[in-house]
Amino acid sequence: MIQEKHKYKNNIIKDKIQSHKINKWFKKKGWSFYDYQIKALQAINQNKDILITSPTGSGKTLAGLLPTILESEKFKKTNLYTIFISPLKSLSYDIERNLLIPINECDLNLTISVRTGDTTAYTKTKQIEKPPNILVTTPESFALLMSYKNAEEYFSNTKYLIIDELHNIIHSKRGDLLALNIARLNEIAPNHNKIALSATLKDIKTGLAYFSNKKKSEVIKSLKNKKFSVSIIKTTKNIPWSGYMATYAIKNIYNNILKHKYSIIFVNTRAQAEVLFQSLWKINKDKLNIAVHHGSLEKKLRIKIEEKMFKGLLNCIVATSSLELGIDWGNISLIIQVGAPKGISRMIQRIGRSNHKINLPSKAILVPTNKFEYLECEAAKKAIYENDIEEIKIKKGSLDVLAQHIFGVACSKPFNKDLLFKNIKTSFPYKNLDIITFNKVLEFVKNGGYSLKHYKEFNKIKKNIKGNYEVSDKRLIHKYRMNIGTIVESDLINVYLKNKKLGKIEEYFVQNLVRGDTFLFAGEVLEYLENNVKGISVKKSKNKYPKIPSYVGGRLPLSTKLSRHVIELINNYKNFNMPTRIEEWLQKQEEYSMLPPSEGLLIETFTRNNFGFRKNYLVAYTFQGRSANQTLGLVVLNKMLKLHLKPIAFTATDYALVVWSEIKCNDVEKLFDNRNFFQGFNQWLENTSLIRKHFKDVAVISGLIDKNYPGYIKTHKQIKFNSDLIYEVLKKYERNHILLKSTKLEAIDDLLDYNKIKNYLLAIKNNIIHKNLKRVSPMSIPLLLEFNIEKVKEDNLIDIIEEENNLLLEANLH
Amino acid sequence: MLVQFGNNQFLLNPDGSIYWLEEKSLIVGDLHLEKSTSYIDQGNFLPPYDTIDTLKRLLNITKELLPNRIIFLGDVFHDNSAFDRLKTKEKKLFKDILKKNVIWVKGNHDNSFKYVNIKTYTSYKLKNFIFSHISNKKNKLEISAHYHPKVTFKFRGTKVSKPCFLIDKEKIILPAYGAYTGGLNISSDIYKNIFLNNYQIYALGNTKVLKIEKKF
Repeated sequence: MIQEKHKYKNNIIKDKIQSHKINKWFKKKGWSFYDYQIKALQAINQNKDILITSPTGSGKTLAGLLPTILESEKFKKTNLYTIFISPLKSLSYDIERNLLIPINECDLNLTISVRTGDTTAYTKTKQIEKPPNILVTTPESFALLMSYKNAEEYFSNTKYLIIDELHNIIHSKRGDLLALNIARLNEIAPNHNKIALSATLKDIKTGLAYFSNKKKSEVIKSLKNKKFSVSIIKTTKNIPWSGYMATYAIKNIYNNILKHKYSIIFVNTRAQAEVLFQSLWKINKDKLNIAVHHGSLEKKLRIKIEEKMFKGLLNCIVATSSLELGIDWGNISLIIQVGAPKGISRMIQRIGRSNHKINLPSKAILVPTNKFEYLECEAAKKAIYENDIEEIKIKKGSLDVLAQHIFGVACSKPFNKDLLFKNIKTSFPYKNLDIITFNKVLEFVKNGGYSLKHYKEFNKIKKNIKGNYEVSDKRLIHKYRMNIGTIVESDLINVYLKNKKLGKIEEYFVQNLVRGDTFLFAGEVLEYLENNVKGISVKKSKNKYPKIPSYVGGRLPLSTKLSRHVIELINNYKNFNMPTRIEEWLQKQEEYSMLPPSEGLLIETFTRNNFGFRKNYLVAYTFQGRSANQTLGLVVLNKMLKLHLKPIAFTATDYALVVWSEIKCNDVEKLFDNRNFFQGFNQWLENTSLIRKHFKDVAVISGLIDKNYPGYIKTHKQIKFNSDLIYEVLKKYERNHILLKSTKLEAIDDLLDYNKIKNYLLAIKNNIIHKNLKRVSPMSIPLLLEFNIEKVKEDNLIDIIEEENNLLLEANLH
Repeated sequence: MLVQFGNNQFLLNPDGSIYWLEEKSLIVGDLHLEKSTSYIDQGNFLPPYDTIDTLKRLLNITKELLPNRIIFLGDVFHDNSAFDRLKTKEKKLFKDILKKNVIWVKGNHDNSFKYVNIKTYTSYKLKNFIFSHISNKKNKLEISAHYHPKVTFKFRGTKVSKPCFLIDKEKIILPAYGAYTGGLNISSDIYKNIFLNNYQIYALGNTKVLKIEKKF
């Protein structure tokens, strides 16, 4: 029922709702519309584009679709009116499933269909011949439909474009692709309204500008803020100095899932998921139904788990970010986060999975796996209650995506170069694109854009008699559609148990396997047998413990915002009720050295004797995140080389950078001097594996080389393009090529945090505090242990324990 | 890196070629010239600089070692019409190389390539050694190419993948020489069928050849 408190700005909305079938259906269910849902309708009625921000589980999807539902009586059966873009395939099916209920129960005059990469060819053809009223699709499938010859006709009736989980899509290459296609849609169907749905966004203005170029637009916030109840797990055991597996708290985790009917355990890496899952089953006396869910699992297996969860057959799922986004499971009552939260928005999103209903608080328990993570959990808890979320970093539109788009437009119809340029500039990420760059990208699409005009007589697109560009060979259109998208998967190999496909693992992991090796996958210890064209085959192992511990993957970066909170927390640690051991750790650090200050940079130096070998350590507590610290480490290492300090190695964590050398560095300020810090850096950058890997992505997205078909072991014939070799040759013979340039620019900013470091060094310029210590400091212990942790082999475990004992003794913490 | 094979001495070069000391012969496999331009009709416009790069490297090693003879182990060209796509400068370089005494073993990519003054062979025997493009089980003391072997190993904690020579008592397989030729990892079952015994792996470093210890 509609509550009286709604202030209808005009009667049209009131009449529309009250006379509509959906209203009766709502009444029957005992539900009422939320205020913001009505507001959204009013805004749409005033021909505005709207951005609805509201926490998960507050009826956002319905709010977005309500205008469509109310107008459905007027709809023709085979016209497409509403495009619903969702970032995840599984989310698309969830939306269809949820919308089909009112459609069927109210007998609405509406058709809905899902189109993703998984859709069958039959359904795809049907969708083209007889479009549904609502098409639920992904950015990639939307781009694909836009490349069809009949795209203009197909989308000409569009009344609504809905973008779900906007925060997940914008400011990424996927976001670029979507923005470009929205710009085209604006031309095809200029009168449609846009509705974006998002979890709380920090920078609302940009969020709005990203998808809407209408003068009239409005942000609609659901008034209610989701309530949270967040705590850190209580155990009698001490939080370990290092490691990432949380096995110390396994019994407490188990007892908590025992107390709740349905729960999700979120972890940060797939390795954590596998290890935790196995550890839980080892103590599962009560025979709880516990499953594991991550991105590497076989699709069928994953869907089966999702269905079981949906039907309430599972008690607990151990999951990575694969379950993060808004799949609608109303009955989860507990979220356990194992490992550091890494980001505030991410944490809120994860916690929002519990008690999906808006008026109940979401309950979450955080499980730190080591001492630094405890600090991060405590800081996150505070930030969550303050709702202090991160801003999404704005990125310029990528040129590889632009190249893909230009060819996509040509697939659909011949285009006028100037008009296309104008249209592209109306999209948010490309608003500052200049004509010179555009022309270069166009030349690249034509024939590679090399200064050596070797491909002059061959062109992928060429001018027709009217002077418009069109595709020169029809076969290229088919190939384009096979390669569409901006997500380049790393080389993955199928894993088969007899004839059952279990999922995919990284190729490099397979290459190091020897027959008889055992490893954890899909929740089981598997033994490697052999490889063949289809992938690798394995059998179940009788061993309880795998020989090869795990593979890394899916490491999350710490957000700048959360790292700020961690420093603040450290400096106010006495005001928090922390476990005694943690408090003692910080107190000893304060006494012996100092706490990392909230303004400025603390650098400690000390010397240790290791088996008669003296190592000089330098620890910089930057709290700038792993990738920034890694870049810092590489530059500092190079500077030490030049100063003849004989550096040995470095290790970078989210919190600090540790470098050790044979000769002690006395002038540490010089190493972190912000002037000329990056001198010589560019040349070094060109030869890193990081930039090669990024070049591969750019080469695939831009259409220079084709996607690999993931899963299969490569046979001799399938090896067509080796992007590393292409990179080397291009670097040697045409340094100014547009792909090289944009690869470098993207790598510098997005992967290496170049600008972040620059700003940071400027900020701490006159505020570097050097503590020249006699021995290891308490706070550096976890950092020194980190290096050993990276080498995961079992036989190293004893070394690590021994090293920990040594360090504790040296620091007087034993 | 010098290795013994069939009581003869062979120098493994970091550019992927082999120098046969007793016969003063340079052996190279899989140049795949004009691989870049062979994907035009598929819409892939690879940077067209692979041929010049490959030929320059070959010219450099011949200037350095001054061999009496060059043995090509097949797939000099990526396809049968690749020669026609060479640019003027590249054709000149190619002809300069052919001025040497050349043994031309045909590959699967360029088996119908014909050129004045060049005699082509399916396989060629010199002393006790057989030179062929694809390895044949029956051959004892055979030097071949075709598979573009590469090996992945850990170096200072990071994963490195490099082209490599594979050598046992009876067989040598050369890495590919071309600038764009990728490789088939030695973890592939194919190699098990070629080598009866455990084989040695020599990876191409930037300036030297490295012996890689790998368990099987």
